[in-house]
Amino acid sequence: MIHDSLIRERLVTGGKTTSDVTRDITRPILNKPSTAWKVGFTLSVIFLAIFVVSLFWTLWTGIGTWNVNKSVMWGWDITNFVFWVGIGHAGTLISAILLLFRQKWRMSINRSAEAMTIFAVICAAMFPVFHMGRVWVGYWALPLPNAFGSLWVNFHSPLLWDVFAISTYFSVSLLFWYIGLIPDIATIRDKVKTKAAQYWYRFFSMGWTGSTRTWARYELISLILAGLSTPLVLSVHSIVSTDFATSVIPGWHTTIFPPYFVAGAIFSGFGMVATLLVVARKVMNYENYITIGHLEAMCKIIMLTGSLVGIAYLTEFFIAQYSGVEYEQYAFLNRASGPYWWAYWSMMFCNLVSPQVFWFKWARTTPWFIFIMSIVVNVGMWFERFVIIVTSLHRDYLPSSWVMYAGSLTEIGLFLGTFGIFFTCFFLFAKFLPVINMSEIKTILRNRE
Amino acid sequence: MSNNQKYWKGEEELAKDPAFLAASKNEFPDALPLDEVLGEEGVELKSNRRDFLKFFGFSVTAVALAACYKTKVRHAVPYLVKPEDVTPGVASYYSSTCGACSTGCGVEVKVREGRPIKVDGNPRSSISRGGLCATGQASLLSLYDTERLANPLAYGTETSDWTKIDQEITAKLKAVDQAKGRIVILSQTIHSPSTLKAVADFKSKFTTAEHITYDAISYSGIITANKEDFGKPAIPTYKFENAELIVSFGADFLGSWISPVEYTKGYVANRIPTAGKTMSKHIQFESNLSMTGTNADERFPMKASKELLYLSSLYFHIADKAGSKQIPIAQNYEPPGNPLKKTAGMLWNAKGKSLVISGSNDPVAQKLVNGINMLLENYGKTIDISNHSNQYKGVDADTDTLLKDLSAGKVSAVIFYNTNPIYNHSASWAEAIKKAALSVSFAHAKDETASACQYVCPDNHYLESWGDAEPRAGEFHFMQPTISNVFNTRQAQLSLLTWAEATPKTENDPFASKAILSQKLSASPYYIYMKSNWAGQLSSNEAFNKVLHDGVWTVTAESNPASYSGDLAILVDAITRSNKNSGTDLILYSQVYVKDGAHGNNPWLHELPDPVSKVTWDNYVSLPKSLAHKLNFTEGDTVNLKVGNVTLNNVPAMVQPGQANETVGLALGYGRTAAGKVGGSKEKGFDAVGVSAWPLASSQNGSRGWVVSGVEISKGDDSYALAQTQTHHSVEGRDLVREASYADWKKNSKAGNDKEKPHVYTIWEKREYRKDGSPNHLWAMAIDLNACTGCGSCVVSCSIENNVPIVGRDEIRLRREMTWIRIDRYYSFANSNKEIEGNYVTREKEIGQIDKADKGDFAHWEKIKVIHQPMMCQHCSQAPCETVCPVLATTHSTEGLNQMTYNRCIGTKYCGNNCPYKVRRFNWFRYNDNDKFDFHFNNPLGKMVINPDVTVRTRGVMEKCSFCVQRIQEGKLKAKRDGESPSKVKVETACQRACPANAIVFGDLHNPDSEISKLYKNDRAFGVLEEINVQSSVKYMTKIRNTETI
Amino acid sequence: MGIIDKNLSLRNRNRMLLGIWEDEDKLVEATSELVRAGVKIQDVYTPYPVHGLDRIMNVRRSWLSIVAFLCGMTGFSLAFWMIYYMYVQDWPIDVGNKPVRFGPSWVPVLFEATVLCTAFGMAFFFFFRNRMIWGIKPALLDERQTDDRMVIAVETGEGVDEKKVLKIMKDHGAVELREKSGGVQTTI
Repeated sequence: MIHDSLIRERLVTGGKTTSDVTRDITRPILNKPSTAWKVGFTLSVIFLAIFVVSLFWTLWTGIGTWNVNKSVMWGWDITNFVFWVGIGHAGTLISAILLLFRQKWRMSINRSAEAMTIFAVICAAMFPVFHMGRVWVGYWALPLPNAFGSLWVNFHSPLLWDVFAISTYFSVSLLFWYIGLIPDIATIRDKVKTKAAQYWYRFFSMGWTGSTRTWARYELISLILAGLSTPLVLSVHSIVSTDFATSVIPGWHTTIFPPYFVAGAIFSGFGMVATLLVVARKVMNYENYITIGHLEAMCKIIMLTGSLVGIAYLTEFFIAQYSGVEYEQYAFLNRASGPYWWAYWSMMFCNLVSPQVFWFKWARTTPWFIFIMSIVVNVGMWFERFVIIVTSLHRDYLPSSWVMYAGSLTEIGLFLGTFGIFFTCFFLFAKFLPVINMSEIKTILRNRE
Repeated sequence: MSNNQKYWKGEEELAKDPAFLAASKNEFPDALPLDEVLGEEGVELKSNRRDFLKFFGFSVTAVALAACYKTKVRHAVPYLVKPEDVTPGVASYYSSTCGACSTGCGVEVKVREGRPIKVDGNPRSSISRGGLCATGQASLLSLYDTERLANPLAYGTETSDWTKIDQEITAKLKAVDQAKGRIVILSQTIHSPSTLKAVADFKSKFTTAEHITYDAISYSGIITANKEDFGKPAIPTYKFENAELIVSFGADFLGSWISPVEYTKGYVANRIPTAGKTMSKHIQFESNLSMTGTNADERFPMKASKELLYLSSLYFHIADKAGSKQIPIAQNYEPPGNPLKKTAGMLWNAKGKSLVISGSNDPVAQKLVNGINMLLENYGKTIDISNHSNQYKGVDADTDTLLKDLSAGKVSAVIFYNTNPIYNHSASWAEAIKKAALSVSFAHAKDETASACQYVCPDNHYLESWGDAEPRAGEFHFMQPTISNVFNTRQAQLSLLTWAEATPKTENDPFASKAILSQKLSASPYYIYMKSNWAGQLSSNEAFNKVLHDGVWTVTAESNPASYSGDLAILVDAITRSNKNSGTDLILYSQVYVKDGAHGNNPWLHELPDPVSKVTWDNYVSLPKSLAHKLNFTEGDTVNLKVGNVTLNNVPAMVQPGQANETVGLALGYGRTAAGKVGGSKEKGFDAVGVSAWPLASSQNGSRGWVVSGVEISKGDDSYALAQTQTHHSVEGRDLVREASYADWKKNSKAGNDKEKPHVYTIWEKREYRKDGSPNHLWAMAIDLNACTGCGSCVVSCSIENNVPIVGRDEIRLRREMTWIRIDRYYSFANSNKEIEGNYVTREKEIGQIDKADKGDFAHWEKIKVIHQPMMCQHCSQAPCETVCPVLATTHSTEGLNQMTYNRCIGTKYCGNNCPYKVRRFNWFRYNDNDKFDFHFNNPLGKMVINPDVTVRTRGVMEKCSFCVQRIQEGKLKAKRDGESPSKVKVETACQRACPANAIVFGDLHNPDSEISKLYKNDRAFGVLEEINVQSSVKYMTKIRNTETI
Repeated sequence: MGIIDKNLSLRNRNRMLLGIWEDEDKLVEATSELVRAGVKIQDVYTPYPVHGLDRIMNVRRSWLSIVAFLCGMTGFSLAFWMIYYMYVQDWPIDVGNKPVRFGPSWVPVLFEATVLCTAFGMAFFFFFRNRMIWGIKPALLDERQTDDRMVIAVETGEGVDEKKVLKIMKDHGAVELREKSGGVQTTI
């Protein structure tokens, strides 16, 4: 007994048939790039150039080209690292957790979200790598047998955990993404005309035919991967948070960090997804696939995680005062009322206050407004990391070493540059790969009970 | 015709010995000892074709591999013949005398492979007593200064030929002499017997020659006073070790006054509270917050121009008690809370065990001081005028008259010896010198005066020179070269002797006998001269060599009681005149390191943060808060100074807590225009470091006055950021430094340190530092906050020992100083607010409250307390930095050291962040061979100062205090070599070695009877941040102030 | 069984009957009908996963989950051994007085290593099993089978009543019927 559900509203609107889906979604790949794409791509490449220049300058002269100093030895670099890693969480989260929860609405956004994850993690990786004083020996952070009397690595160091966590997260996300892509690559393979395109899509489609036996295993592996990625995605930001949580610096040494960082990561991740999709659905006219419903769902999650993060801020603050440790107390009072008060309060506004507008349906369903909010959210999250890192370091235990810190041009250049990396990758992705998972969408053209 | 001469390899060949002929066919006549060589590896030598192929294959691969690895070619020049006293890798030490200033501290010079690399105090010297000031330590670098003159200059052009110059000068001198023109040698204080004899010889040759002494920062006030009061134009010897009460009026005797190291040694003798021994009390009246002031138990702000009133009223109170004749003055001045009356009372009780001194250069002030000390019967007890000091003899009046005569053309030849009057006396010298027929300078470099002279005959650096000294009557120091001349320079004494044609013959040269390979070593003629000069007292070679070895020789002190003939009544109008001084005072002072600016080109001294303000690379106007408030001066602003017709515009300035109201301070010795690329040089186009304050100097009753009253100050329109190594100045009420009053300490020896220990838990067991079962060393350090005066000697000593780079002003502005040890300095401000408890406040917020409530005199900024806390790597047993390093670049040694492996460091800087003491330093750039940091690490000569036992760190690695691990290693090896038990290992860290106050103690905690173990048990011992349980290996001794309350 | 799934290869399957569908539901009916009729279905090709189809075709449930578990175990033990060797056996070093023996600080690395091995081990197994490899030429029966068409392939041979098969297909809404012998397809 099969008929369309009357209860749920459709996830894909416009009465699309299977072939419509293929046509719509492969359109940007089969046709010439649009002007919008060209403009965007050029812009991204310019920013990419900024990154390259700043990086070259740093490597040539030394970390001294940044303004980090004897007390604040991490500044914009690690702030950006945590910022990007955070963004890199939504993708896997959406695909994995929502898949486990059988949230079908994820299907039209998970592809781009995963892509975003991978690009964000690439951006993030730039900073822990290039903040090293001697990048050229950076590989010593890997447990390799070596010429130094086989001196191994320090398994107590959160930085080492990061090495493992980030690389695992990156490779598993990549795998997950790629496996998800195979059927769609096959579809494109059978559509493209040019020799080169045919060759490459065939190469990557791994001889996919859509045999039911394969589909069966395919569904199983997606499920297991999802199951794996869920703890993984939670572990990554928890581990990143231990960079701070395991230290002795007041304001860093906080046990609430792991959950708080994960919530923050999801928050910023969804922020970024919203930013991208609100634009993408317009430019590539995918309104029928990425519906207002999707945006609304994301807004709800943003509001939820935003509030979670907000609660974390307050808890942190309360615990510091409650602990009776003067250093802790000072660290947090100093955040709110010290020389970096502006950073603290912009964080508070962007992350705790502003998402509350999503209580109103209008706010959740107005794309341009969502776009603005998503930007606000990410600004806020950048400030959160800045506040945690800089305000804790600039005034820690010994007042004699209290300093002020402000990023140098090179540091700013590196940060802007990573947006270049990110968007360059994203534009290429949008041109050569389907931004929406066709084979999955096709299964939900009709809602079933 | 071809050469058909025949050479034989030996008589065998001549004799056509068959064996020889056979052998001569082979490439190597004797069989090569290959078997021994390859024997161990058990290589079969009877090799067949296979083996050959193996070897061949191996060697080819080996060559290939070797070729892959490109090593830098390093040129090493081995000793052809090993000099008897040089063992490569082993340092030798020579006693000598410091020539950095005329104080003449005895020093011990560490020499490695013929290079002096460290200068420390000579324990045998009664002046330095084993300590040495920062300036003395840093003076080592002037030896390797590329901007020293490499050759003598004649009319600005270099000539390597001394004889030519000598002829010219001698000719001119003779001409002048015949014409009965005056010849003047203007020298810094000379107390070297031999040098004085050389001068005398010169004078006897040229009858019209005279010798005038000029000290840029002179003590002619004291000298004139003593001349009139005791008939002895000299500075007495102050015995701080005998004083139980020290009252100083603006004398920075621990930092820059006369003989700081000597005084520090004496001062700390009674500053450590020990049972059954009274701790001395120190009261300071001053305008600027001097380093000495920061150590005072009680410090009262004083308007310097009113000092005479202070002294006279102090005299009044004491004379009142003594019932002796008063100075007939109308009324007596008494500052609020009559500190003078109280001080007088205390002084009277400490009669004969007290010491009153004044930093003023005003003879009147010094006469009053003499009077006071006379009433207190301090002469012969804390003041010794009979065995007076020779360290400063200059009387300003002489120099002033010389300048007049020179400008009037009354002097026809002038020779400058260690003097630079154009810079630090008066610019009008430049014109005056032109009037002389002959002008010669012995300057090391082409300084301001030298460049105005016809001839510059560069003097040796003191480490290249022979010499002797008599810093105190009867105390003789000796100086011996520790390196042969770096440049084509000549000792000034020798130049004088040459011109006087009195150079000694070198036949009786003791070194001549010491022939190595028939190559005659010849000593400097001046050595012969000096030796013959001593022939009287030290006849035998042995005796002379012994004093050279010891560096000191003392003749029994004479003691004839001082006959006081002072009359204070004549001072009345001088005193009453000073009452009229109104407006703001400007106090010119000598900065602790830069002093009179002679070492202006020494980067170590500029990089070293001022002990009080922590400012580097600049001098600045120190403003009292009240004035700053009036000018609404904010950080980074500048000020304009106007004194008479002299104006200085846009002088960097800062608000200095403790600066007396209506006074401002400015350091002398800056603003060199011909020092070099570091200190500033017009010629080479390098900006001067700081501004020159000399033109502002006034005159006080005949001698140069450093107190200028009625200076006009306005806010400058420029802004300037001073490079400070500490920008937050109060301790925020944190338990990082502990202090208590002497009164409380006497009741409870744990006073101030009896807070209950924090509850610390650790989930791992405590590590015992053992090596294969038996206890190993456990190195630890203790620092006595009572002893530490904040002089910074340890800082520069550490930088020298550990090759710490110099980074310059801009980097320090970015807070990237590299020093491994720093001295934290915290102010606490007098509390006038009832709501806040405690006599002193340290919290930013509370200080702010009090400021708001203030009526404008900001008394709480005047009345402050200061504490110095040396801070270096604490070598925590549970070090947070170690845990976080991903690559194990920083780990814990089996001897409790937190060790840094530079080669392994990848530079994540995580350790630096996680250090609660913030003592880790990162190499942000490559600091050597980098033109952005054009200091001694950037030129081959400067690099000679590098300590070969310590790596020069590369860019991108973390570094920090290592507890001088190289010295520990040396100590252990010595003990091992001498077959002593490990507990006997004697190690002194560089900072400890240099400290003039013996504040730093280092040793092995596993050795129960070591000094360190005792100090760890001391009731005053506490650790910084014990509550975070990092278990630091450095303990501090609670600061005890000799006051009733804290 | 060998790792690679033989059924996936269409080589040396000389003759096959193909039915092309456009409607998912009809396809499902047809498949179940064929299975009920005892026809051996070679395979069904769909552009997207059609749920339940594999069960109708009674394809055995995949071993993937077991493989995943094994890989995970391997990863964990490898990581544990690595840390133990490097940290306890080879060169124990005192950092911040932390114990060298197993401590909480091992957990993150162990976890990550486990996940990594599981994911990749499983993925490689998946690829092998489905004879998927980069650059391999796909054996397509209809160029639109990855777009919107669905194909049922039935192998012919003894005991296969071709008429019946074709009838079932026709009745259950096959839009097109083909016969594939060698490389050529001909519409019936």
